[in-house]
Parts: sequence; structure tokens; C-alpha cells
Amino acid sequence: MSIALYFFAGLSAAAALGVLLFRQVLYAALSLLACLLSLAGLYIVMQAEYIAVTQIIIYAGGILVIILFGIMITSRLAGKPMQVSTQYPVIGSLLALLIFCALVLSQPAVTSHTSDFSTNHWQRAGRWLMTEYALAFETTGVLLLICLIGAAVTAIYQRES
Amino acid sequence: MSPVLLYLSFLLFALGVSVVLTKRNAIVVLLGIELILSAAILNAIHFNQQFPDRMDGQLFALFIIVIAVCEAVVGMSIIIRVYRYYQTAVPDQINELNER
Amino acid sequence: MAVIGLILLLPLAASVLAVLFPLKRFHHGMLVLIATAASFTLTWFARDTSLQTSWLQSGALNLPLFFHVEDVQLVRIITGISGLVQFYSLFYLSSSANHRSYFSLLGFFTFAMLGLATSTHLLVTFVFWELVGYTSYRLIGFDTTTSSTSAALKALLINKVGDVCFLIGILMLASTGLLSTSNLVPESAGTLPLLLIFVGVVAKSAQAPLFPWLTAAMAGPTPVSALLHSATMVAAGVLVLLRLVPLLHDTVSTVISFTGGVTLLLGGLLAIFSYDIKRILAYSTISQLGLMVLAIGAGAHASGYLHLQTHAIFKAGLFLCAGVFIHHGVISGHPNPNDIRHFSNPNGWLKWSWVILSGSLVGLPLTAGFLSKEAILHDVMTFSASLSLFVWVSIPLTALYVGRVSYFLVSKKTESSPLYALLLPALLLSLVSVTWFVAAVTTEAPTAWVSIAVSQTLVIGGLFAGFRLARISFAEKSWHTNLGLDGLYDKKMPQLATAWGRAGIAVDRQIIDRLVHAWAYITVLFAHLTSWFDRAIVDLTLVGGSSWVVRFTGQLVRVPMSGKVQGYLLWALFSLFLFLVLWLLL
Repeated sequence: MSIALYFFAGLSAAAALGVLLFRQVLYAALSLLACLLSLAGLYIVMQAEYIAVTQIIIYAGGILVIILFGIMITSRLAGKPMQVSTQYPVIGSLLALLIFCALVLSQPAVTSHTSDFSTNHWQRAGRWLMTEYALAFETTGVLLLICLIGAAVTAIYQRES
Repeated sequence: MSPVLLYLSFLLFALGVSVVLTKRNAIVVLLGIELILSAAILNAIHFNQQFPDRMDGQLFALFIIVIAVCEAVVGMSIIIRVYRYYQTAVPDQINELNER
Repeated sequence: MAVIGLILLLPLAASVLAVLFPLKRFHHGMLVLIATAASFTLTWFARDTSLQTSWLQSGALNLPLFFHVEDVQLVRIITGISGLVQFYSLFYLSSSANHRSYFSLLGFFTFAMLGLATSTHLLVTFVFWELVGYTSYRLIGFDTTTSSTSAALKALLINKVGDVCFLIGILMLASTGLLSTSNLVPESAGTLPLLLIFVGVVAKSAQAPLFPWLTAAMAGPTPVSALLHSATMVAAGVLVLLRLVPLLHDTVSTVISFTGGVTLLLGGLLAIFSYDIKRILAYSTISQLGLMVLAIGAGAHASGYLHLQTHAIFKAGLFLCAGVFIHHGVISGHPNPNDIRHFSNPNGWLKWSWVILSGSLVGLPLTAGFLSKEAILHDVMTFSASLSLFVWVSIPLTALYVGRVSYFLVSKKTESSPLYALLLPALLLSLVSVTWFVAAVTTEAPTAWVSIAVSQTLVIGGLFAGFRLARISFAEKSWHTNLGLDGLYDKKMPQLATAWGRAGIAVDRQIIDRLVHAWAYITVLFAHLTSWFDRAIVDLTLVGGSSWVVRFTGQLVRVPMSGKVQGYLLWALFSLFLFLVLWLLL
């Protein structure tokens, strides 16, 4: 159990580092996919199966597909694998490092309690969603709809007059 | 076990920040944002483990995922639109508001 | 009022017309003569005696133009003699002379003299005084030869000394409000302004020591000498003195009377030693003017004024006679027509008019001169015995030079030249002289028989001595002309003036120029200083500094404004980091 956690944590960290280090956009996207999948594994370890499944379906299945479509569309003109160059590499990395250090220094003490394995998390999640978070759930649905329409309107192809 | 997850979330956040700052491509910047959001989701789930009888953190993570989806979709559509308009996906080159 | 205006303005109008319009030569003189004659005639029709207009009125400043005929006889004498001299000039002047300017000047002189004689405001008097002086200057230099031009200049300059003093005196009087001579308060003026005015009188009336210009003025035409330099213009000083009689007090009166006395004797003495007829008459004029000034200074103003009038008549006549002699000499072709030794007698009438007029000069009975001279003698004896000594000495002295000259003129055998036109004025004047005597004696018979007897004895003795003296011939020495004062005026004064001018130049170069240069250096230095300040402080520090500050700030602000989204994000995250650190520290 502990090994699985370290494994998924290391894997996701390495994949995230790959996102930073890969020069080809496609590789970076695939590296993010690996990161998200390993995070999903981590969530299962953390007894959040519902989130893990959602992560795999929506993130890995939805977002990544959209991003890959974007890469395909935007690299059409170049006619070769899409490369990405960097800017402020030192300053950006240094700032990220500083933030990391600051966060490490400010870390709160978290005591984790493992709940009983027999507990049906799916049931609990559904009940919580339909009772305490009903308003947020519905609002999120509306948001999704607006987002769908907005994205379609924005990205729709208009022949320039 | 707990410091590892925190450090992982810090690392993801830091990496996402550095990706957002340094990559000269809008799509890759979008990837960096996903990394940052993943760090937030990880934290939300991790902090939820303190209170096993509640589901707040996990449901927050769920909403964050939905928001991330929306963000990604809208962002992607904007990138496509901008790409059509400027023939580029490099944010620096879209500098109409910059001084000439 | 209107008549007085006409009397004054007719000669002026004629003068202006004569100078403006090109007439035939003879007509210029005729025009002026007619105008003067009209003025002369109008004096019998003048009912009012004053004419008052305003010359300049500006706020508190009011310069009145006020003419008042105190004595219509004076106006008659001026216009009458002027007219006669103009008539005389018509025949006397050579045909080549510039009649236009000559007669214009004569007419103008008549106007100016009338104005001078009738003005009752000292400023107006001064204006006419200057006009008279200017006309005199122009007429002396009428011949435009070198000698007459220098004589004119001399007359002008010496007169100018007096004029300046006169003006200063007038202005000092003006500060005490004594400019109008019609209502003077007795003895209310200080000594200095009166003495300054008297200096003007000394110059104008050719008193010692400022008399040399009058003998030099004889370079002018003889009619001019008759009119200006014996009868009228030189009397102007005496006239002004008469106006100021109420102001004269003891100190001033003493100065005046002694100046007059010295002039009286000096003129008579110098007249003895000259052979030039015009110069003799000039000295005689100086002497007689001295007598008038002496009389006024002694307090005998009435008799002095009377002598002014009679002297005007007989001296003008004498000059006109001398003019006939000279004219005759010129026609006969004498190289030196003014020399009395070469004179010949052109006409019997001339002899008789000369005798009558010179008798008037010495004060013989049957002539107007007798009246005025005896009056002066009597009055001066009454007022001051010591001053009468001057008069007593002058009586035989006058007779001496008159006798000497008359011997030369009368003893010659008479020719018969038809010079009647030239003779007429002199004859008329001698007639006036005799008539005056008759008119005066019949109204008021003389009373001072003792002084008359003594003076007549002296006169006759003087005359016979003069006849004897005329036979002694002597060479003219330098002091005989103007006591050698000419050397003083002609050489020493210019040297003094030149030295003064050199001193002025030295002061100018050494002090004023250096001051100017020093000031210029200071200015340049200051300019350099300000330009340095301008460049270093204002331009470089203030202007350049502020622009540098603005540019620096702008570039500082530019750095984050890169136009890159991620650049902005970088700053945003940096500030997030700062907040994080802050949160950590707190």
C-alpha cells in the first residue's frame, strides 16, 4: 500500500517533470496524460475511487483528447512535429523553486485517518451530492452547458469576409 | 505517508507554474494549468482524509475537475480561434496591446 | 486791441510775404516799407493800449501773451525809424545784394522790436529778445564776407553769454512769481536774479566789459547799424532795465550805475582815437547807452527813458548821414570809404543835418538831445552827487570827439551830388529833433539854469578842443580799438574753451570711459555667470534631471509591461510569492 502510493507519487512527479522538460508538444501532452493517470491511481490509494474514475474519464478521456485535437489543428501549417521553445527559463524556474520552498516551509501538519474499506464510498458521494451540494451540483451542470455552447461559438469556423 | 502527498502536490504546483511561465506555446501553457489544478485536487483529497466521515474535499475535487474541463474547453477554443486569426499559438506574438 | 495786433503783425506779415514770394527786387523793400508805414500810421488810431491772449495754457501752467503800449511814442519811434531806414535801404543797397532776405529781416526786426517794447511778461520779452538777437546776427553777417561773418558770430556769442544769464535770472524770478512786469512789487526780488538779468542787459546794450561786439557789428550794412546797433536793438537792454525799475534796490543800483558810468567814459575816450566813422559812432552809442544805464541806476529813470528816445532819433540820423558819406566815398572810388580823413561833402543839406544831429548828441539847445541830457544831468545831481561826476566828465568828452569828427566832415568844401533820396531820412530826423525841442520847451520851460549854463560852457569848450584835436594826426594803437579786449575775446576765450574741452575729453576718456568699460566687464561677467547657471543648473540639472527622472521611471515601468501574458503572470506569481513569504513571517 505504501509502495503503491510512492510508486504513483513518483510516477506522477516524473510525468509532471516530463511536461516541463519535453520540447515536443505532443510528448508533453502524453506526459501529462501519464501524470493524470498516475494521479488517478493515487486517488484510488487514497480511497477516493469516485474522483479517480472521474479523473480518468474526464481528464484523461476528455481534456487530453481536446488538447490533442488542438495540437493537431495548430501544427497543421508547420508540417512537422510541434516544438516549443522557452522563455525566462532561469527566472521562471527560480520562482517556481522559491514557491515550492515557501510551500514546504509553510506546510501544515496533516494527520490522515484511513477509513474503513467496507464503507461504500459511491453511495456516500451520491448522497452528499444530492443533499448538501445539490445547488453546487446543479450550478456546475449549468456551467458545463454554458461552457459547451461558448466553446462551440468561439471555435466555430467563420470564413472571413 | 502524508508529507509525501503534500510534497507531491507542491511539486506539481511548482512544475505547473514553471511550465506556465516558461513555455512559449499556448497549448503547453494549458498543460501547465492542468498540472496546477491537479495539485489542487490532490490537496483537496488529501486534506479530506483528516475527516473520514465527511466528503467535502472529494466533492471539491470533483467540482475542480469540472471547472478544469470547462477551462480547458474554453481555452482550447480560444487558442484555435486565435490561431486562425494570428496564424500562431505563441502568446508573445499576440501583442496588439503592447507598445509599438 | 485789434489795432495793436495790426501794428505788431503787419511788419511780420510783410516779412513773411517778402521771403515767401519771389517778387521783383525793388518790390520786396516796397512791401515791407508799406507795412511798416501802415503800422506807423496806425499808432494814431490805437485807442486801447493792451492786447492779451494766451500763448500756452495747460493746467496750472499759463503763459500769457500780453502786450501793453505804455508809451505810444516809443512805438512810433520804432516804426518810424524802421520805416525811414527801410526807405533809405531801398536806395543805399547795391543792386547785387539779396533784397529778399534783407528786407524780410528788416520787417521781421521791426516786428520783434515792437514785441519786445510792448510785451509785459518777461518770458515773452525773452522770446522777442532772442528774435531780435537772431535778426541782428543775420544782418551783421549780411555781406557774407569772412570779416562780417566772424563779426556776426562774435556778436552772437557775446550776446549769448548775456542771454543765458538773462534766462537764468528770469527763471529765478519766476520762482518768486515776478514774471509779469506790469504789477511789480517794489524791492521784492533777490539780488542774484537781478544781477543775472543785468548781465543780459550789459551784453545786449554793449556795456563794459561786453561791448566789443558792437564795434564788430559795424561790419553790417550802414542802415542796419543805424537801425539795430544804435537806435533800437541796443536800447532793448535799457528798456528791460526800465521795466524792472521797481525791483531795483541799492546793491543792484550801485552795480548798474557804476557799470553805466565806466561805459560812458570808456566809450567817449575810445571814440577820440578812431578814424573810422562807423566805429566812432559805435563808441558814441556805447557811451550814450552807458549814460542811460547810469541814469537808471542813479534813479533818474524818466530822464533815462527820454534820452533813450532822443538818442534813437539823433543816432539813427547820424548813422544815416555817415551812410551818405560812405556811399559817396564808395562812388568816388576811395579805397577806405569809412576813414573820416578822406571824406568829402557831397551835399549842403547833409552838412546841416549832420550839424543838427551832432548838436543833439552833445546836447546843444534847439535839439532834442538838449532836453534829455540836461534832464539826466539835473536828475543825477539831485539823486547822487558822486555819480553826477561821471556825467560832468562825459559832457566835454562827448563834445571833444564830436568836434573832432565834425571838423573833418564840415570843413570840406561842398560838392553837389544829387543824393536826395538818401538825404531825406536824415533831414526828417533832424527836423523831428528840432520840433521835439520846440514842442517840449514851449510846454515846460527849463528851470535849472545854473547847470545848463555850466554844461553848455563845457560843451562849447569841448567842441573847440575837438576842432584843435582833429588837426593832430596819430597812428592808431591796438588799445584804441576796444581797449584790447578783442584779444581777450578772440584768443584767450577760445583757448580757455579749448582747454576746458580738453579737460572734458580727458575726464571722459580717463574716468567715464573706464567706468563704462568696467560696467561692461561686470555685465559680461554676470552674463557668463548666468549662462553657466543656465547651462549647468537649469538645463542640465533641472530640465535634464527631470527628463532623466521621467525617462528612468518610464523605463522602470516598461520592464514589466513587456506585452507578454506570461510576463505579467510572472509578476503576479512573484507578488504571490511575496505574500506567501509575508504570511510565513507573520
